[in-house]
Amino acid sequence: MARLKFTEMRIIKLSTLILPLLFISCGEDGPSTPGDNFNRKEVIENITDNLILPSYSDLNVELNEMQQALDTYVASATPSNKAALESAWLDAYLSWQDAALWNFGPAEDAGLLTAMNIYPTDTNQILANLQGSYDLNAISQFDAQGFPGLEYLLFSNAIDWTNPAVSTYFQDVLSRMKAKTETTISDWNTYRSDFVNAQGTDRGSAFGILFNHTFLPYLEVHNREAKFGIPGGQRTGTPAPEKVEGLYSRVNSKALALRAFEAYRRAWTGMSHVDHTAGASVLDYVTYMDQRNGTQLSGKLESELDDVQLAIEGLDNDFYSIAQTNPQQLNDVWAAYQVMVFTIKTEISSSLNVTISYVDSDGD
Amino acid sequence: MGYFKRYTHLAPLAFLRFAFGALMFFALLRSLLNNWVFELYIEPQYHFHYYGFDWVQPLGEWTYLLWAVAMISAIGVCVGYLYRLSIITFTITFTYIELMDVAYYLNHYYFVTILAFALCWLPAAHYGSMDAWLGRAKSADEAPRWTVDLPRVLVSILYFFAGLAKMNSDWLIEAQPLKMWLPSRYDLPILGELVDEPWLPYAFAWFGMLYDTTIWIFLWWKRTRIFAYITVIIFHTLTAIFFPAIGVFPYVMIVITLVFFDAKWQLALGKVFPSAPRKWHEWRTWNPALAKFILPVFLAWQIFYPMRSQLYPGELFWTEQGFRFSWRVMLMEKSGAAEFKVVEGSTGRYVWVDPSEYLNETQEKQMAFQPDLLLQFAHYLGSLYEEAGMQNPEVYVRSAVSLNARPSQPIVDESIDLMQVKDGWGHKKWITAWNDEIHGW
Repeated sequence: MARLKFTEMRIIKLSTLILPLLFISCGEDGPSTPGDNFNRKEVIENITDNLILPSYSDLNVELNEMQQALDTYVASATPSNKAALESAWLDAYLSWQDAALWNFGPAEDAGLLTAMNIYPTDTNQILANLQGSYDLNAISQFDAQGFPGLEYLLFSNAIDWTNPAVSTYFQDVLSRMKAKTETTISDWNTYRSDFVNAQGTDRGSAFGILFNHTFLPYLEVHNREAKFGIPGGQRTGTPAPEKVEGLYSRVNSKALALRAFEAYRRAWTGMSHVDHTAGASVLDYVTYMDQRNGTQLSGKLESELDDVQLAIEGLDNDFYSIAQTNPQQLNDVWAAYQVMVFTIKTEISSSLNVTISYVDSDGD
Repeated sequence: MGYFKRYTHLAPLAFLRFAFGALMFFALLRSLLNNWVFELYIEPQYHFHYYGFDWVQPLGEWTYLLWAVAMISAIGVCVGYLYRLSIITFTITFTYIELMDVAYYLNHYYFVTILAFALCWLPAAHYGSMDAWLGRAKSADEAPRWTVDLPRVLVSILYFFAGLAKMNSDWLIEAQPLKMWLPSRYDLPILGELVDEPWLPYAFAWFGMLYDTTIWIFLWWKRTRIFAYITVIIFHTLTAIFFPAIGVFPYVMIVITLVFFDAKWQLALGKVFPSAPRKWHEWRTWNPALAKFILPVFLAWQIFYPMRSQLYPGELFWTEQGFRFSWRVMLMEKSGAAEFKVVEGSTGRYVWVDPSEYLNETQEKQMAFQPDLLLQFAHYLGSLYEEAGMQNPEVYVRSAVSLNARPSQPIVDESIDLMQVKDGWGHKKWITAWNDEIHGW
């Protein structure tokens, strides 16, 4: 009896000692060495200041150059001025591919995409618009404008530029593109600090926003599906050549897709939009977690990025004829994208613990 | 069997009833205010069902009525008004809500169902309740000790199994998934400075395991109870801070564990709702003859059902055969991706289907790493294509699943036509073999 009592006392003493100790040891253990901490904020600042914001100002510059080319051509309808307008259109379209992936916050609020790049373009709607009045802000008009709509005006045989309605329509479309771009740029003035200070990895954090917009849905919907899967017929079993990006100029599909992919890649590697110098990147964060977890995810992602790039580079310029003659080539690129999407959705989102869904969860 | 003849004060049980009812009311209110009723149950076109419960479906707009009934009955439980009716109604409606979609499975919802079921039988409204106050129920001070102990046993079982589940090599030796989870909370004030410390995941892992396996012992024991309860508060507050995604669970445990006390403050309820004059000293359970039969079976279920995973071959974390209803909480980091290939048997023509066209983000995320949900969705797709006129569609899945920082691998064999596979209690041979090992429980 006495011995039992003694043991009991000891356990009580021990437990009252140990329990608080355990907390001290995992709660506030002395002045820690901060040297090991990875600076996440720097990553977001680099993406914001060296990738996102410059890509919008470049787009703005290119749109203004297209405006000048339009003015010149309207004043003097020479073949060389037409060629200059076509070239300004292509430059601006390429610079859009650098800006398209930041489809959240100001761009999403402004509806920038709706003014820029909904394709295939609705040619019947455009022809109808040339005959009468239209409101480009109407949802039904979203696929009758933007770069694909302008492309139709520039490259289709059905369009007669001696009809003044054509240049007026071109101007209206371009004006909306410029206005939406300017709104997006000015909104970023205030949004920047919110974004950079949205720390953590929840849905509303900068990392969460990048994953839930740029890194996954943008890649899946606007690259994998729109540029490759849909024209290749991956989802329907029936190729759809008339749905390629760059349908009317015919030779630019690859240049546009490649440009979009390179911009996407820089979003991971943190390479500056302006001069392609390296900066603090999400890939660095992946590497940092690799060191903790004993994984090799950053290398894996880089090699999968290489694979997609090689697959795109291996295609001919004209996706329309590829979709007609050998759609499997487009579906092969789709498959390369898909390998990378799987890696991002599984290993990388686990490693960075970024929230993709938003309800309570305790099972995983 | 002297234990079953012992009586004790009803106050802890009455307090549990009060706290449980209030908590459940606020938990349901929270999901309502978050618009989850609509987003999770009304909006999606497809719902994953628990095996054998495919007849439990959301009721469209009427799902709100289900919420209303559950919330009103939770208030009834809380204040102890029409208690028997309230607790039975609550148990049924809450369980129905829980069964509507397995993709939203949470261990603490299951615990709520279990506790609610137990409370249906216990004399929780004979003290400190509106019923006792108004004379609707015979009021009493005491009841058989086991009726007060039963909820304590249920909490103990939960903790014990949760701790046992942490005794594996990933959790204790690799400190995974905490190594991945903790650094993502770098934005926390003060604690955020620590999240990159290499020792922190180990401290959390070992402390978590020791806490779960032993805390219930210290809660039972009167001399350590108060210290144990302080530990309960600190532990669950930490988990709430670090893992906000677990929702109300930490608060449920902080409040429910108060049932271990038999202290004077619990008598307060008896002052709020004083008993009616014609007072009985002691009371019994509801329908003792039936309770005598049901409750031992119920208790045995609590002990044995969580262990059923031992009957299946393969790694439990990978196959998840016996993973649910076994108190495996915040235990692994699993993420997946899946694409479905629907093939027309006669022509060989096929399409690739993106499941996100049919599911919300949570459903898709949960399905992608749970084999039985992948199978359910494959059958759903097959039936859709069959309705659309495809003859004998075959459905295949290309999947990738990563578990606790390991390279991802397919979880279902891509060459198997899932339309030919039936779900069931047996071992799922169509799940791929996992190319690694986790040692321990």
